Amino acid sequence: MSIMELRDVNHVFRRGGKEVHAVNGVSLSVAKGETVAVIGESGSGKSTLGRIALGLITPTSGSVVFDGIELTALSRKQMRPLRSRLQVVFQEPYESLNPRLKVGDIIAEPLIIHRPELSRAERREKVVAMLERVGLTAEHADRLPRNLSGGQQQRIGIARAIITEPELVILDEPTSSLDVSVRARVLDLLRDLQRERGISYVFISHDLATVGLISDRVAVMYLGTVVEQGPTQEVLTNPRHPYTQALMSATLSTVVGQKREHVPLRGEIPNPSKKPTKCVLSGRCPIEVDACSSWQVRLAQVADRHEVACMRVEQEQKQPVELGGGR
Amino acid sequence: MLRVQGLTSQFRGRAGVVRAIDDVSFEVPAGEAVGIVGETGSGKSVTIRSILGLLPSYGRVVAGSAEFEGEDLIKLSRTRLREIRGARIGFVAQNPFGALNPVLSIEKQFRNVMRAHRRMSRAELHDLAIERLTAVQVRGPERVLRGYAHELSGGMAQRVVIALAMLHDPPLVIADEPTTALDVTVQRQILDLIDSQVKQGGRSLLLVTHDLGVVAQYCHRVVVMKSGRVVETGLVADVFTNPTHEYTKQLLDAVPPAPWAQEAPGLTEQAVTSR
Repeated sequence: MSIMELRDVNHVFRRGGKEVHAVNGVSLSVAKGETVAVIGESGSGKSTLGRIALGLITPTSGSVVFDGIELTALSRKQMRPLRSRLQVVFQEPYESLNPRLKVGDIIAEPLIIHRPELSRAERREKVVAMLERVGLTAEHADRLPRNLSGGQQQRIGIARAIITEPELVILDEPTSSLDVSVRARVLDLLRDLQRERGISYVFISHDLATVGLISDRVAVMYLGTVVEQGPTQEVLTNPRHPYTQALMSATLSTVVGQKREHVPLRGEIPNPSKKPTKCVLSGRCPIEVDACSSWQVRLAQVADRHEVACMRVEQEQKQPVELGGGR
Repeated sequence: MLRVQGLTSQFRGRAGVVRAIDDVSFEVPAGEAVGIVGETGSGKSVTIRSILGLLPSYGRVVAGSAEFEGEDLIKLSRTRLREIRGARIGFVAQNPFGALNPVLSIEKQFRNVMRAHRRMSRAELHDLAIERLTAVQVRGPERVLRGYAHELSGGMAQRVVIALAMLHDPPLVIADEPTTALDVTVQRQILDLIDSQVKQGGRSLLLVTHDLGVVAQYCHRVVVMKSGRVVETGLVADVFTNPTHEYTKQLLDAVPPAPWAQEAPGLTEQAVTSR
């Protein structure tokens, strides 16, 4: 049973006569208690997709269903009661915390809005319990965010997100701005909370190594399009799309001499101002052939629940013998 | 090539004097690549800024030396240090758009960097700039020279910075988190480029990074820093396979294996509890 279902979502930003096709035909479902990772570089549309899932952006077209409710049809007012069930943790912990509020007040704020029936004392009790749950103490409640470390600030961001007992939390690069030693502990916390409470996560990241540790399924985005998706283990051990392979090979191992052959992409991410009419990786792809430029991007199954949007892979799938050259 | 001994720097702030780095010592042998690795606040950037005389006005070096080509960089006058920076030591900063001047054409910046140390005719310099931009795989170098920094992508801008840093063929290159601001798929291209530029010229490299993978794959030696001090130093092959200091061990353990080297990606609990 899925808690969130995105179907054929498209989003175009329009500013000053210019268009940015941020999300193109993305479908994604998140089951209860599951972590789905959305992977991509800057400009891939992954954060826009997160905002669409949160109901913060109404997509240009497509449907966003949260627990059976179509979010795109709701007004802001109708959306409000859902916000306690659908929360978010941002990348920059400090930027996302009000610098003038004490930590206790930051965490209490969602309760004031969503649980107005609680007395001040009950609220305080919940805040302290939550602080302790995320690895801080009651004393932290009276501090200001700037007096805490990055890791502690992110724990507060997490506490604020889960105090309303949400069913789905969008984690937008929650560990990217943290040092490695802190990162591992924050990931542990997120995982423990998920196990205790059965929360579903959408984990937005550019780091495949982290995603390998936390997610059940992964969707790789490039230029607003999902180019590969499937169970994390399957995708990471058997990446088929050249973009996924390039991303994988870009991560360097800390084991000396442990190298992966670099799958280089030419150039850099193009401007997403036009709706892609051909394969999104066209122009950068190492295995591109002429026919790719007239190929309409579509996901095709390559293994159980593993889908790839690449013409070469699709053909190889159909007639494995003819295509020896590719890679 | 570069020998840093007992380097100690302080910052003056509202809370009094803070020792940012304390008794930092290491060497960069000729032709080798040395990585300084550490987390936020470890003092890795302060170390190279102390060496290059680029500390902010409220910071100063209070002890130690940095010997380079027979001179102690710490004791040198500003003028002499400026002669060395750019000519004998190339510097690649984290943010290429901070390193490039936004209101000068790229060609003008090549001219400025050249003129700081050497006389050359415009025509000659133009040809040299084209040659150097081509060497760092900048496509359409003529167009890039006429243009400005904001017209470049992050990766292209960093290539231009690298070309400028190498313009005087310095024997030592210092790079401060040169790929942190770039996209993942571009990062490795830039690292490969720095690596090849350094190797081709038989140069030495001092590379500051928070990414242990970069050190493991591109450096001969490593200096591990924490809270302003060097906790461990040695050959990468030794330190990474057999770290003696507890902190180095913790750091290495905290980095998840590369996705393609994870034994069972997706099996999250085992992966983490086994550490």
